[in-house]
Amino acid sequence: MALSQADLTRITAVLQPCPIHELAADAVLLEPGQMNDTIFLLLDGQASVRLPGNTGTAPIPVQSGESVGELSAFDQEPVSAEVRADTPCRFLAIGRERFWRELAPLPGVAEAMLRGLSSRLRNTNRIALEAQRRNLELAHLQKELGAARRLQESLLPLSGHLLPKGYPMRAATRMCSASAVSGDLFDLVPLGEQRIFVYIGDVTGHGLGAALFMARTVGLMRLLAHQIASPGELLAQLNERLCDSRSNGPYVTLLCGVLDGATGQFTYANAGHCPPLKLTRSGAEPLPLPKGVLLGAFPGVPYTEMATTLEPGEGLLLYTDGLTEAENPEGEAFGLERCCPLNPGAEPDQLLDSLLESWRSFTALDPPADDCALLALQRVS
Amino acid sequence: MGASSISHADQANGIRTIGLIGRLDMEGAEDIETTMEELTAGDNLRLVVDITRVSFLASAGIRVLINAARGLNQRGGRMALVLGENPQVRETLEFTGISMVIPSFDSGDQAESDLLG
Repeated sequence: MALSQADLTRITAVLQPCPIHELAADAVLLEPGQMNDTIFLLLDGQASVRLPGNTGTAPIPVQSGESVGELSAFDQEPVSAEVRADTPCRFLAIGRERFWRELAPLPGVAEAMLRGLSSRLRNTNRIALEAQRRNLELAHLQKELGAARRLQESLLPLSGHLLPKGYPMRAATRMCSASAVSGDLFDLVPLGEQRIFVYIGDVTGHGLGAALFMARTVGLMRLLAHQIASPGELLAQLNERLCDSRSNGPYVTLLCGVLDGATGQFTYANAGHCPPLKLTRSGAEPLPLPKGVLLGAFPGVPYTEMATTLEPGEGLLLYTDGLTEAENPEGEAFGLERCCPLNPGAEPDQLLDSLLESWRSFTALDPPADDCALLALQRVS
Repeated sequence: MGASSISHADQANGIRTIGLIGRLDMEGAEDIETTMEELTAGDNLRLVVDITRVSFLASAGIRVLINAARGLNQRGGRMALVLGENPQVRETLEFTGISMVIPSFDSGDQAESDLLG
């Protein structure tokens, strides 16, 4: 659109008295919600327009020669987006009245303004559609995550009767997840009439990868628990299966054992998991750990066993390191010491409730930073 | 601004030393993982990984260490760890059984003489 020298002179004459706004870098020219009467023409510098709300869209750059503020100036509605100077900027401020009275009637001005508005409208439409598509995808993903979470929870003994009726022991479990799905696992498998196979484990890493690996491990454990009586031998077998056909993790730490309700003997083996607490009348203390490296990393390594005896009324607390490594706002870890003052004679359900209560008030974080799984067993007196 | 950082030096005796610093939690492990993979990719590499300045070792960090050690073993190399005073890091390596499969030392000199021996 070529303008004659005479037109340019007339336009210049109208613009001449318009004031110039100078903005430092990062200064805000227009804020969403404010009323605005001015069309700002960027003379030099670099500015950008940011849509309010979390649309996930990048700021839209404004180059020199382009204008902002005309929408709110024209329709007298509140400003819809923030305009900010990225570098020091100079804007020519053209009042709404002056624009309609003196500038719009001049040749080429209305056409240029309409062109600019049309192109901005197209751009906004594109951004809006893009954001809508992303939101739909996100909603779909969240739905799938919800399904994965329910499936995962169904793999863990979290409610109902954890042990068959008449078993000479009590049990309770809790799970606090850091995200939708988790990498913590535990189970109770009754063997015969008074023995129970029990384990707790923690897959390295988080998210769906860890959750899938968790599900695979739970399945293998159910199979192996009925086939192999010795906890050490069971871990060695599990390790061989988890080591094959994979290159780079994830790995899983896991402590397992068999508790005989008649004699109170607990025979256990460990694959890199943190030590369980033995709950006696005199307090709670960590069990010594038999040697064993975490699973899925090094084939052919041995897993030794240890044993301890629970008197009637005594119990065990199995946990994942999300319990002990959780930090308070000052950066201190919860640690094992803070588990110890709990009432070791309490029934498993009460014991876990009071432990979680003090853990939650210590960390003051919901959801927690890491998954935390708890399993308490008590030999019935 | 990363939670962790990684540096390395190749010495005249053929040993490569990698220094890890900071929190090796999920975020920190992500920061260093790719560089760690690149630095441990060679054949017959003798590697000292110095974690004396690692302030927190979570399972994501353990995964990075194990991946490095396994990769080296498969390609004819060996890896040794140098531990600092941090009880949390020592305890984690002890509990996870890592110290059974990756030789761990109190000083870089001890780690190097083990790799050269």
